[in-house]
Amino acid sequence: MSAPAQRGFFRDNSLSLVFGGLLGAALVGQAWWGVVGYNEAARTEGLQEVSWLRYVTSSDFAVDVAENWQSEFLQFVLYIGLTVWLVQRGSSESKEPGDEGRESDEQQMLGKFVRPDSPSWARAGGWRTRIYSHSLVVVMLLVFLGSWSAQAIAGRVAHNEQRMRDLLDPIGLGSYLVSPDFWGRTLQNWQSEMLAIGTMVVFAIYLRERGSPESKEVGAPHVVTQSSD
Amino acid sequence: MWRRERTWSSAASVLAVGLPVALVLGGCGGAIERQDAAATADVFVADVTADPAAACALLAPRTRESVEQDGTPCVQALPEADIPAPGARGTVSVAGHSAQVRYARETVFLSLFDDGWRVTAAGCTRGSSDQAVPYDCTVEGD
Repeated sequence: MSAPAQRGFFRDNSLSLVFGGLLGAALVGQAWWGVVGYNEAARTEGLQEVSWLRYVTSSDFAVDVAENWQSEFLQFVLYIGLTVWLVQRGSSESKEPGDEGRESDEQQMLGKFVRPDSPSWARAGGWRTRIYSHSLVVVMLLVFLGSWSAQAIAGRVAHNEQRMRDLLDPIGLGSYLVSPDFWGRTLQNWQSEMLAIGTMVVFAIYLRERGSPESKEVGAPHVVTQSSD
Repeated sequence: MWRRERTWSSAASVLAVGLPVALVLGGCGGAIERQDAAATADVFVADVTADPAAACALLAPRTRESVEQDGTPCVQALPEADIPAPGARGTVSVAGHSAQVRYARETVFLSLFDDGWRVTAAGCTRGSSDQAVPYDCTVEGD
């Protein structure tokens, strides 16, 4: 690949690359502080400390990661799905009031309105276009369900590890799914995600960030719902 | 909003692979771990009276300190600790670095150290049906 092409790739994908880097850095930091905390607790109880590698492959680390992942993807599933049918007047995160629903083929560039460069499954019609029409929510939903399941499985192991340290019986998966530990981890993340997305919807009516596609233009009136194209 | 969704989607599809791997490696209490924990507990409960020195060597450091807290050496204190005869072994549970081995008349708790499983509490019986109340143990760490 030539040098100009490389510059073009990084420039064209800078948002994804930066978020990928930030995600990696945050995971490393979480693992670092996590093993420090785990080993502090182990010393307090006179138990074996663990290596960084052992910690990042432990259920303690897995449940802490999964409980945040599931809530993020639930947030997007709800937001993508609900914004089809619900609106917020004046918010750049919303469609115009009156545009609720799946929209016409013309608006969605489907059927006779497809373009030559439309995705192949959008041009295909039939079941492939129906699936592709919901692929974003479906994938987000699958990642949410996978992450939530991972939280349940890893959370039970981590919870039982601590229970046996405390001279208590371990509990089965069914009991764990109705335990305060599982729902405490779940709901503390859900409430923060709902707060964040709800705040974004409302703040975007009145506040601006010049140049950001997440914001209306600085001079756009508060009553204007979508950014101008 | 769509740009952010696409960013997260691509990142997650890559990293979603890592979580199941971590779960598998994280140790959900594999058969080998259960066998090792049970073997240590079996040796311990058999050696409490037959070979106290060997049983003491299987105690976790904090538990051994507790046994010797009044100045009596472990080899003398452990056989006098009123640990009941265990009876037949029952359920073995392992989660992470913790294990529980149930016998007919007592329960043993263990923790994983660099040199293997070590007993953190023994002679344990349930004093309450409340699952939030710990076992009563004749030998345990402070």
